[in-house]
Amino acid sequence: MDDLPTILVVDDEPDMCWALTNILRPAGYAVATATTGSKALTLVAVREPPYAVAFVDAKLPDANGLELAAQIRQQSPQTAIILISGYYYHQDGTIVEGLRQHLIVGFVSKPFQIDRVRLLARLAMEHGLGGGEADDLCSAG
Amino acid sequence: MNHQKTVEVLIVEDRQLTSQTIEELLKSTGYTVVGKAANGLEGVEKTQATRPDVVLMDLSGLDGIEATRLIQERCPTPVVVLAAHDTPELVQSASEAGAGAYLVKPASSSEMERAITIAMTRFDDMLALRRLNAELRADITARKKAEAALLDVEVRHRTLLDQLPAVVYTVEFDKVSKTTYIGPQVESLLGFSQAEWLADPDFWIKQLHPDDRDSVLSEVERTDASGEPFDMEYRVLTRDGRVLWFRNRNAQMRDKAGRTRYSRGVLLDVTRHKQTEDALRQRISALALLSDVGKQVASLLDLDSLLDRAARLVQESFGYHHVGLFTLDRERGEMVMRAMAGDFTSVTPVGHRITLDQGMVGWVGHHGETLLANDVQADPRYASVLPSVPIRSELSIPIRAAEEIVGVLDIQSPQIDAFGEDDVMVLETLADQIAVAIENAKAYQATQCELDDRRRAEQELQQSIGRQEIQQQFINSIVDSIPSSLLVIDRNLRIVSVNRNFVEKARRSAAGTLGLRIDEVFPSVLIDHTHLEKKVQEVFRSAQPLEGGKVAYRAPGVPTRIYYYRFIPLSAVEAPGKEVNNVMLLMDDITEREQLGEEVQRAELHLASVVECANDLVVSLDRGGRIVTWNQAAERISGFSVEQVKGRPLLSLCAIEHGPIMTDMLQRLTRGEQVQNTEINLVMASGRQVQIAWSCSSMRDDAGKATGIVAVGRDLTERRQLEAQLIQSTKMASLGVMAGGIAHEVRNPLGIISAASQLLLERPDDVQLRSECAQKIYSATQRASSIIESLMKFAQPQVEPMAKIDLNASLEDILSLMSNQLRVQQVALVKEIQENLPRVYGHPNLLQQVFSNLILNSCNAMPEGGTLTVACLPAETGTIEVRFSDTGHGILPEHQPKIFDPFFTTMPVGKGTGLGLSISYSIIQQHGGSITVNSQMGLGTTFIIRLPAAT
Repeated sequence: MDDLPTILVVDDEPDMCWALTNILRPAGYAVATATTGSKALTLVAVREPPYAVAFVDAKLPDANGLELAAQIRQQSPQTAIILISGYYYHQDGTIVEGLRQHLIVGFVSKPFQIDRVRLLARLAMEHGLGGGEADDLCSAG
Repeated sequence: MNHQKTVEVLIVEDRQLTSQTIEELLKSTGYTVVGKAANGLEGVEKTQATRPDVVLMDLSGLDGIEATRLIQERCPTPVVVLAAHDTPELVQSASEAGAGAYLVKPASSSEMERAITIAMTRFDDMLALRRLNAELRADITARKKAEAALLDVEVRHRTLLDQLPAVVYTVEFDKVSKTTYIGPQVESLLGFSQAEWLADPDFWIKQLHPDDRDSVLSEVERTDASGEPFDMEYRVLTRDGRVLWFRNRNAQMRDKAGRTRYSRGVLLDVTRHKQTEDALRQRISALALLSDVGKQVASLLDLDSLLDRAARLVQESFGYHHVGLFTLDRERGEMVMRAMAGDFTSVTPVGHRITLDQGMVGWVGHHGETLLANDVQADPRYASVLPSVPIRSELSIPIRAAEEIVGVLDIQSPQIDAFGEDDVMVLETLADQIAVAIENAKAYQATQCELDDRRRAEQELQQSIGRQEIQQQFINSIVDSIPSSLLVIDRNLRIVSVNRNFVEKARRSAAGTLGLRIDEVFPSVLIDHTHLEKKVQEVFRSAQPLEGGKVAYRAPGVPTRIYYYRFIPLSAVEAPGKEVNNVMLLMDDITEREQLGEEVQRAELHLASVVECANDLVVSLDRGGRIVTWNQAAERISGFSVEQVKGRPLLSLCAIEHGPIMTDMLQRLTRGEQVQNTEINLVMASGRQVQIAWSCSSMRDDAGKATGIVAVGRDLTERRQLEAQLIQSTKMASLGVMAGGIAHEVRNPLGIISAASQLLLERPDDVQLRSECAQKIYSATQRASSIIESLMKFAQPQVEPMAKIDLNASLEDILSLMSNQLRVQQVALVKEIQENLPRVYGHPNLLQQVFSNLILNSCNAMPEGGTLTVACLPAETGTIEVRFSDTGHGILPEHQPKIFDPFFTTMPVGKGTGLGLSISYSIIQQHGGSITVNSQMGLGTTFIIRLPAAT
């Protein structure tokens, strides 16, 4: 595809990156992947226009997911970040706090429904950083 | 002494008892006591009233002396002074006051009698002296009259020259003087004829007494020169050697030129006159002497010095040539020369003896009569003892005391007719005085001797008493200090002596015990039980010591004590073993010894039962490591009985893999080291192994030589079970901590599987995707499964048997399990692992537990993340070191000593158990290793584990 990727996937598991790419691409998104936080930030820095959505793993070898989210938002305030993790669960305080601060717009826990990932991607695309939507997005997961 | 009439005595004595005693003594000796006075004044009054023959005067102070003096003054009576002592001052003052005799109290009746006699005799003598004195005074009056008469006679002589007993002479001076005429009386007076006298002009000078010669000639010269009339009395020797006193008076006739032409004189025989005068002078001096001698003699109580003094006084005072004093030795019938004075002292030695038939002294000593020989050659009784002594006159006077001759006063002179009646009288008086003094001295000496004897005897007695007492005290103190009870029993079974120990032990007094029969002292039960009486009697019979036995004796008020008693026969010192006088009962208090014996037995029993009943194995080994004792616990735990193991080496019961540890342990013990908590498994009778922790020490004899080993082993089975439970609990706690990490670890592959399978369902016809999905599902499943497996491995409670393990592999296992946890906590892991390390003996899962504890600990120390360095390298010889270093906050220094304590935690409640490190410590110990910590605040902490490499 000629379109520039609009979604960034950050996960230290290459297989997880593979899975998310294969879920999002058929939905019409161009997908870029990074297995480390630093790599992700490099991609974000060079990307113009910015990524609309980023799926970020909560635990990376070199970075904490929320911290990385904050850094991405700093470089690319237009990017909506969805946290994806096998470590946290929905009502986890960290997640709730992240949503409240608008660091993230949604949360996906592993293992997940592929439709939910696509839905979250679409909603994020459509609503951008609509904070009001965050809770909905979460609860929808 | 016989008294014509009974002597009447007045007693002056202030103490009634003494007074009464004296009265009885006197009465018993035949005296009459006419009165008693209690003080001096009363004594004087009663003397005046009752006129006693003698007064016995108590000399208590000056009162008695003053009374004596007053009695002599007012109513002269013989006084015997009674005194408590006899200082010379007292004797002197008593004598001066007029006491006739001096007596030291207490006086016997014979002493008193003697004193009374002496006092009375002296008193008589004194009266006689007084009479004499009075006579002499009368004599002096007579002499004065005589002198007056003589003057008249002289006047008459001048005219009646020839009728007078005087010699008229004429001396003519012509160049030399020459007697030209001498009266015829010269022949009758001097025994020389007129012709003889006139033939030699110096004849008159030759006949001058030698003593007077010089003075006469010098007077002649003087008067010749001066022309004064010559008038001089001097002595002239007669033809027959007698001495006559002449008064020579002459007048010189001078010529015109003033020269003396001739003188006419008259020689007047004044011998009688002179003699009277001499006698008077002698008597006066005799009186003075008598009183002096009397005084001196009375105060002299030493016989020899008394006699010596008397002799000298008589000689010097009277001018006798020689005075000798002899005493009578009645037994040998000899007179002994005791003292002398005068010209012949150098020829007759003191102590010279004369028999009673020898000489005048002998005769007088024998007959007791005064003997005067004015020409000894004419007296047949005279014997010249020493012919060299030119004796011409001798006067021997007996010295009598109590009518008995005690001595002789002997006066000698080289001149004929040396002694007159006056001499006799004076000297007889003096002799009596001397007699009294001798008696006094003798009495005094006798008393003194008696006193001395008595004193000596007393002293000796006291000394011997003293010696005996000291001896006795010495023996008593020895006997009293013997820590056994001693009783001395006589034949009547009465106690005659006890020592202090008995008195104290039996709670009795010595006084309340002596004299009692033994059955009055000991309870009858004791007497009956021990047959004490029979045994005592037996010892009296056999004279052999007899061992008794043990007996319990309870004195009143004290707990029962146990004694060992025995009997010892006591014989008289002079007949040892012959006859038993007493039997000594010797009782040794053996209560403590007995109790000690019992205590030792009890302690031994106790110790044995402690050893036997102990839950631990108590095994003693000989030096070769062979089993000597094997307690019940050892039997129970091992399943082997004592009989089965006795003599077998302990090593043979060890698990084979622990053999080297046991060998090493025994070697260390024989070197003297102590061994604590060494785990060596025993193989039980059933073949199973039982974990035993051994603490051993070597037994040593007094010389310090190792004689064997005592090994105490604790069965660790139960402890291990508890420990295992604890480990499991902490493991579960660790799992809880790790749960997040593990969840993430598992949910990642699950997420992949889930997504891949949904994609498969969505696009089943996409061949490419189908294949990829299947591949992803498979690999993710593998990963999840391995995580679960390591989790299960970690969590399993079974303890694997010890085995040689590779520490690196163990570390890798646990790190893989923990990696996610580390990632979650943002902890970077650095591994410094050296390949091909020696293996160690150990339980892999227990060591993994330790590692996981330390990793979790490090993570907790780095809540903001950090770096954990895990190192595994060889350290000192035969040791492998595993280090866990974090970059965390460090451990407070004050917490460092406590971190291995159970339940010590710095974590909030509910977060940490406080058991992780303590369990780690215990596990490493169990592996014979060590775990230490190094920490610096703010820099980090390093835990170091050292494990012995397996050989």
